[in-house]
Amino acid sequence: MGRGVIAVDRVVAFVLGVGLVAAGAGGLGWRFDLIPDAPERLRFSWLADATRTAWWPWATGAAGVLLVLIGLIWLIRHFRSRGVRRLQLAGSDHTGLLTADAKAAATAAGDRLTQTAGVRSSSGRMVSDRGQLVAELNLTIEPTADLGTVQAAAEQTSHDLHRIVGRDDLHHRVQLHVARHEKTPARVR
Amino acid sequence: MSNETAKRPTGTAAVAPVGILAAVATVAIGVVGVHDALQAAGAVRGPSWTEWLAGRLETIQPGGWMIPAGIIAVVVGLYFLVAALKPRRVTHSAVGRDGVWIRRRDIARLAAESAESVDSVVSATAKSRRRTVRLTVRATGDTDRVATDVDTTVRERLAILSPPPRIRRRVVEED
Repeated sequence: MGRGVIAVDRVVAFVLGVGLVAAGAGGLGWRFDLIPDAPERLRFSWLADATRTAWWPWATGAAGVLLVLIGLIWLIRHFRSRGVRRLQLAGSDHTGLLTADAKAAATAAGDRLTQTAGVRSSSGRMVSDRGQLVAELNLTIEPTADLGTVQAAAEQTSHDLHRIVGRDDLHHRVQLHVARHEKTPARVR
Repeated sequence: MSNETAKRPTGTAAVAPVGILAAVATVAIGVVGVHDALQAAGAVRGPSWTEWLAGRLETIQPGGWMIPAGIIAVVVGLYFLVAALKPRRVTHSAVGRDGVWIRRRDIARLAAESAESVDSVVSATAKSRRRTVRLTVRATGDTDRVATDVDTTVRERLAILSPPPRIRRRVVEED
């Protein structure tokens, strides 16, 4: 889910919220006679008249198709993957493109981290996150793992990944998950 | 070449379900419009839905239905407003200062494991809030000594977190 769709959601939710609160409070105030000089009834006969005109079905049809398209695009944007498949590498120019499998690069970095003591498993991916290209590594560590060791290894691997990919706009993020139970034999204390 | 760290990980925006609901409602309203166009063209049988709705809205006057409808509209409207303005939830704490993060529940697991490694501790449970880790420790023997040891061990284990959390612990003597 990108920043754009969240911004749209916020604006729509705000406008709908203000409208619903105003309509609800207005309706209650009208029902309990709290609004001075309120009319006894509201008439919207123009709306019923409009539905009987010749142009009405054309207008509803056109607006309907437009709304279905907008609604579907809006809905799909909520579930669109943020993943980046291929990375253009430094050195690409008009004579040719150098590209790399983005997920494979991140996965390889994660695999390397599994050699660190206390790291049980890893996964890696490249994502587009809030306007940044991010190499995201997820590590599952043992409950007994030494955080300092894991952190140092994660930082070193991230720096190596930056060096290999060679793109200035690449960012990194390593997320640690702690396994519920120790898998490897308990260390001697 | 830069070694930039990415933005802090966050939870899903609270407004996302409202957005999904509004998108589905937009599609539904669009379907009503398309249905009425097809109905007018004779491709679909039955009455026009917008004509039926316009007939119901021709005259509106105060009625008993306005009380539940008004309350529901205000409550739902307030929920939409809160969701629209609520910032994304912070879900992780920093480990060091270079783009390594850990979830709060995982901090609790580390704290519990560290507490259990202390001599005389039978079991330990932990909960991690925004800046505090709360431990409940069951132990045999000298509870004051256990409390001090648990404090020291857990504090050392979590010292690498940035900022380090406050440790609150309760030691219960095991019978």
